[in-house]
Amino acid sequence: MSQPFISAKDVHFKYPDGTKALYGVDLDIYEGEIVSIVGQNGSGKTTLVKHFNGLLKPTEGDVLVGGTSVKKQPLGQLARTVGYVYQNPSLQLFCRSVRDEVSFGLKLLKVPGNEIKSTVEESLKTVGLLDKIDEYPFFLTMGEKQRVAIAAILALKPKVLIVDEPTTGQDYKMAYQFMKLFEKLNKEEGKTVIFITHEMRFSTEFAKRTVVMSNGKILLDGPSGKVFTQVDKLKEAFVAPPQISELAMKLNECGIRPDILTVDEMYQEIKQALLKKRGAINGTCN
Amino acid sequence: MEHVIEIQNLSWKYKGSEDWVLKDISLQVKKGEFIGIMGQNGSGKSTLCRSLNGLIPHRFNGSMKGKVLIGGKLDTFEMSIADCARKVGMVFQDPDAQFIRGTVEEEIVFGAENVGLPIKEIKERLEWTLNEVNLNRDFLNKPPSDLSGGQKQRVAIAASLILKPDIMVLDEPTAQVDPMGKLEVFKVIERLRKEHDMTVILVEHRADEILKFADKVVLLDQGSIVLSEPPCQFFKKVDVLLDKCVYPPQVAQLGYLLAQDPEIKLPAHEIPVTVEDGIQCLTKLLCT
Repeated sequence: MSQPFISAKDVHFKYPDGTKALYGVDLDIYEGEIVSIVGQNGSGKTTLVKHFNGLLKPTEGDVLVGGTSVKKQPLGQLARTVGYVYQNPSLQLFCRSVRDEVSFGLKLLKVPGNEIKSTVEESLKTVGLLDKIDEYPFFLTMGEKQRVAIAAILALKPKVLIVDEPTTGQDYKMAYQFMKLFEKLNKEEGKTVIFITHEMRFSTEFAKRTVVMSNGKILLDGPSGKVFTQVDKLKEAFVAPPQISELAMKLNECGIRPDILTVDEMYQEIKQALLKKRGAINGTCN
Repeated sequence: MEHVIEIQNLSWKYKGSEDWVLKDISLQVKKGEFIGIMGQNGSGKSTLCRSLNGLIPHRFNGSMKGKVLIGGKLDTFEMSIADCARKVGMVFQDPDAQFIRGTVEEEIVFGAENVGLPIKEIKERLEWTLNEVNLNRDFLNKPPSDLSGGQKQRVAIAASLILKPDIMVLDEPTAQVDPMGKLEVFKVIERLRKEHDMTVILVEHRADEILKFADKVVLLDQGSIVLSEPPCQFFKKVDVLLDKCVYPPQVAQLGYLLAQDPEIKLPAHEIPVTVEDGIQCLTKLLCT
């Protein structure tokens, strides 16, 4: 395999108040991946990903982005490489209009005005909010605020997009739209996407790879199908597999694969098993 | 049996808005019942909650038609907001928006002080509520901001509970809380129901807890009630739920696909909604 784009090497982190949040994390993220990070609050998920764009610097160990230590890269440059969307968009938004909000990072980076205009419009179009460009962010719905926050990050054209609990507090349609948007950015623009979530159904449906964190360490890391069959380890991390994985594991005796991840996959598997069974009963040997 | 909540043809429109947010809602809730309320953003869930504890019509401006009766006879329109608060406790989605005092203790006793209870009684009730929400006394002097999401919501519940309401209305209490915190909050709610026969109205986007705890689920869409059924019936209606942007349980989604498939034709009433149902249903289908 090629070089990882982000590489955490034995990362330890202690907050200034003395709270230790990471205890030796090793993690490699490759270009073009969609990776989901799960684990209960306080397990170190957010602390870890904040190391990837330099918001936090490791107390011990190192994080390489694009082959260079984050300690040696200026924040402005890192922000253009790795974009981080906060869990609570209200923490990120502070301007008077959606346009100002999305332009802010580009202005900081001294991008020329005409380029800012086109980039801002393009980013808002991607998240479907071009018609709100002159609105006051405060009056937008939660889902819209979240999308403005994503557009503000997209405007910086980062290679890696980190989204912290994008579906929390959203209804099904909105949550699904967000996940589809990240999938599209990954497929069409080749962006590497890392998302933190408590909703395992999104982890299995949209991420081929899942990382489970517990007590500041990585407990499991691998293809989502494998990760969600490790019932005992998941319990240790207080993570419950999605209904479909649980069902698949318990139907093993009926000939169902235990590493099924999505409703559609399960449906196909059951359909095949049923047709095979009926075929056997009807004795279709020709 | 007496209905602790009786909503009669309730309609509500916020001042300055063209549209009715609630349209001709009628709902009866028995003592000790747990009603789950689901529906997409903007369907009127929070407005319905506000109309149960008198925030509507007393604190919001707008037009109201119909009636909300509490305890079989008291009309929220005629009650004072303080009387409403004694009968109906309210917990919001974002506890930080609700907290106004410096410490957990001040936060919890605030409502009791406001209605003028004697200090001795407030102290007794404080001990009682701490026990009910399973919070340690060590938290009392901490600022609420230092607490975890689950702890914050338990403080918010305690702050309502101290007035000993008969009804608790919780508007997405665990939307911002992680799975462990969620469990803590639901344990407290379950206990209140078991030990005090508390009536619970709870808004929630996710199916898991509703499925486990609710006696009945109400689906709101554009201000009207579209479905009102026990969870095991409610979640079978996957097409309606998806149409109204509600998360169906994955097992029900699977069952729905099996029911739609012309070669499988799982009978609609056999669509499973829990993992246990699913195992039973699919074992029968596949292994016999």
